[in-house]
Amino acid sequence: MSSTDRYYLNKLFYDTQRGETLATYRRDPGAFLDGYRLSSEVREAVESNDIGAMYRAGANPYLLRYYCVNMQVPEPEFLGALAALRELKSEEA
Amino acid sequence: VAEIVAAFAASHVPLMVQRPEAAAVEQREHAFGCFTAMGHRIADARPQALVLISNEHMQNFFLNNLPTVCVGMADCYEGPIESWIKLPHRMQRGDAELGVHLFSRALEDGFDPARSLDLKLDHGTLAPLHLAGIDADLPVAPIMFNNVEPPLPTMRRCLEWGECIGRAVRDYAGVDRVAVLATGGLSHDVGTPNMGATDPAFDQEFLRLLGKEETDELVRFAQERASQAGNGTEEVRNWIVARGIVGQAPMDVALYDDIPAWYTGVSIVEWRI
Repeated sequence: MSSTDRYYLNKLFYDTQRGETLATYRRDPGAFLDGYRLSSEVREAVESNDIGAMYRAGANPYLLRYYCVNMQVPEPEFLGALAALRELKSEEA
Repeated sequence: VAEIVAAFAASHVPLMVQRPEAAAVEQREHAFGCFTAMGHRIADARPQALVLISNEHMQNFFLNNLPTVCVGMADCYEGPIESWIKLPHRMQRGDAELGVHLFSRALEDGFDPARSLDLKLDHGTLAPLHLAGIDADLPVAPIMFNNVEPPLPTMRRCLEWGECIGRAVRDYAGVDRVAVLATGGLSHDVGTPNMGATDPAFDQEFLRLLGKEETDELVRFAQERASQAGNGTEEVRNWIVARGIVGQAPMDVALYDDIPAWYTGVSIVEWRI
């Protein structure tokens, strides 16, 4: 994962923490994401709200948490998506 | 010059205010009672200023410029900065003069902190202040340690930082009475595959070592084990800073309860000054 991807993924999370910016993002995510230098792979993870993929792309865990709270991801879905990475990891090992 | 009249460390887990009802009624009433008692103990000590040792959660600072240690030197600290947290808006008075003093003393002592004259408070400081009922008019001097974006400052350095802050407070001429409150921890994971897990064995051992007169074992244990006990457990740095500030004062564990419903080992300790 490039530092550019990691930076802009987290910058998206950081910037959308404020209510007015979050509203702008949610109105038109595509246009908003054009302002962030994300690889197509990471942009796809964001657009499909793939929590596991965003984590693996280098999301700061706190920013990922708050982003998902702001995006109103239900708690079981959030915890489940992350917990699934444990199984993935043990399969890889 | 100032003396330290009260010193505490306490958890700051957001679920305490976000979803208190997730915890069993006896558990949460006991925990909240302990926070209230901490607030009374601090008020009874009649401090004129409160040094807050905490970490912010990438609400003010970002990867373009992320301080390892940042000393607040403002007259006022507004919060909460998070839009989602269920905490009342607060304008906490700041002791800017004390902040400048702590910053200057740190430089003279060989430390290199960042500074902020516009630091917003997040749940890390506001949840304990709110639950303890600490007056918004009590002037605070916050010092933020990076606990959330590795690489992190070493536990050893955090202890040394605490010793530096302790010396600085004790030669501050602006007020006579200063309280200390460190926040964060104990074991928890935030936004990781282990979120929801706690590590009571880590917590118990950490508390045991925190109360000891010698600190080498504490520092070594925390350095080796905190990250395995959860990324949120890295916040025990703030407790180690407080231990450095108070020196060898005896410590009481006012609260320890493993509360998986709040995803955290929840604790409060008091150093008997």
